[in-house]
Amino acid sequence: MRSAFKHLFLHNPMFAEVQRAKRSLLSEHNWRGGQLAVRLLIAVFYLFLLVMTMSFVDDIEPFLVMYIMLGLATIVLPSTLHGAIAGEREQRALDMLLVAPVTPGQIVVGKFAKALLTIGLLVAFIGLPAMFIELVHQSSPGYAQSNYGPESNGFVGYFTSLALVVVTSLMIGAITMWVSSKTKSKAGAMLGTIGALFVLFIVVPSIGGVVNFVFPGVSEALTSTSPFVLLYWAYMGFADSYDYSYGYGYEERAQSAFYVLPTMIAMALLTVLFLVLATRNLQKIALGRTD
Amino acid sequence: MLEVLGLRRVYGSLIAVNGIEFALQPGDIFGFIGSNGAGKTTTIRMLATLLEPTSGTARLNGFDVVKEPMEIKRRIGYMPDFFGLYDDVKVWEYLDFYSTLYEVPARERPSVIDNVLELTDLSIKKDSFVSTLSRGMQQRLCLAKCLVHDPELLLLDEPASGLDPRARAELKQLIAELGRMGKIVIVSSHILPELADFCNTVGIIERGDLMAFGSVRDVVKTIQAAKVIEVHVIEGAGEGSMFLHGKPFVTNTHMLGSTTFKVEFEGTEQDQAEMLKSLIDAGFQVTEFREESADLEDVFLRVTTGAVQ
Repeated sequence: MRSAFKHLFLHNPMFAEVQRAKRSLLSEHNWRGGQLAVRLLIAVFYLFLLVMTMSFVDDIEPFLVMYIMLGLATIVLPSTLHGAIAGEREQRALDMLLVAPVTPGQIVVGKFAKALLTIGLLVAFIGLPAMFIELVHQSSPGYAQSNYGPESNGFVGYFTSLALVVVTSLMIGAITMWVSSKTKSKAGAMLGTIGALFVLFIVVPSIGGVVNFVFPGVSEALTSTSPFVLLYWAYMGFADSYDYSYGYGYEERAQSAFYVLPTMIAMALLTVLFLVLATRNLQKIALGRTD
Repeated sequence: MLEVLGLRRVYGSLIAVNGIEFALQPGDIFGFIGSNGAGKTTTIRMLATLLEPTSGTARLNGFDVVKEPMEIKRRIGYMPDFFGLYDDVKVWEYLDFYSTLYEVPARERPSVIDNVLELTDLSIKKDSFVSTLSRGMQQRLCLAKCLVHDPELLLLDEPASGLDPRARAELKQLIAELGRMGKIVIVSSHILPELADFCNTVGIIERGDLMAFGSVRDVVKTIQAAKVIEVHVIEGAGEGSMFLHGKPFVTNTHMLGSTTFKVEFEGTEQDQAEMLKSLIDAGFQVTEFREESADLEDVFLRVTTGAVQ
């Protein structure tokens, strides 16, 4: 176990991939044409977000910023990682990686490190402004009583929702890596990832919602697989739901930990599982057991 | 030393490589010849640890390709037939990335990169983006990448494909230099004259079978049972041909024109000199007397049937 940890995390030459990604990101080669336009668009969006935050700091709910972060993670992580293996295959560069003295596990972890870098950037650029809003709100007396729905759970809610966003992002990254290891083209990997996330985040919770409507309370676990549902619960500190027996209205059902913590653990396990599956796929490619 | 021991790869009912065996010494430049689909790339990929052999193995300086792939990876440089480079980084950054993967110590990396760039004549492009390099330069960059860890064995799969004549000539010089540096170099190609220029050992593969193996001279000799000597005279080629017909060691003669004829001959060089003397003594005015040597192309055409799998 210790040697595997050392092999994958402490002595992994593939972390050079992060340096390469950094060089590629900063390279003037990528500061022109479409790439430049995308980057400018991101910068304008970010500045807009900052200005809005500063201007309406009293009115903005921090969890809305966390939603933006989660939404961005859902877009940015697949965009960053979909070519991790499929792109190398498409570009015919994978063979040169596979003949280097690194194992498939090290390659997968090295490539996945880009996800950590991306999540770090998201936390720095979006999570910290959200924390600033939370700080302002906490210092305003009487804020905690929201004018609708349940009360905010303060910093506990902030950090729980931040942890949820990070864990969800890691899982999205791992799913992207797995799909990337199964496909031969970047476009295929991107489509596959979008499909997988659609099923996991929309189809499964929707089925849960329908089942829950017919059999109230039976399938809340399914509904809670959606991080977009969980994020609100995590921030507020408890899960709420409509009570269909007595008409519409919020009813506190359980502490958020009841739903959020097991889901976060499940997501962390899924992250490891998808990374292991990606490694196994790469092992097969490395030994010529696939086309 | 590289020993290939009964290397075999089967895909379903198709035998891609059929238990081939050969050995190479440091400094050997081995030309691996075969038609498309003959098994060259499959063999090279097995040696590069990218393909699991169905049976058999290969050993590089005692390390087994099947059992010790990581040790093999540290000792080989592999250049695939088709490859892509990361084109959004600079040339030195690309080499720095691979130097890191091959665990070249950080303080030695700059000098290693400078050395391989100099060897591959790319120093001037050190700060250029990979995407701006020509095909020939990208080929040399890939070779430079193969050299950052000073490998003992270089596996070059069709390295000259798609290159212009000048780039080919430069690549040949570079490969010859690598051989002089004591590396074992395996070069696959189906452009035969190219290989004959700088390979000291060749192997011909067809349908997974190694049909011939050895030095270029030995391989050529094995297919050339009789020497063919072309004789030019001022006049009387017909008489000259008749004169030699039936002489010792002469198996056949052919008229090529009024002043030229060919002699198929099985004797030694001494016998060959005696034959020339007898022609001159008989009054034939010989202007040219030369042995036609077979080349790799002749050998290849003779040994193979052109069948692919």
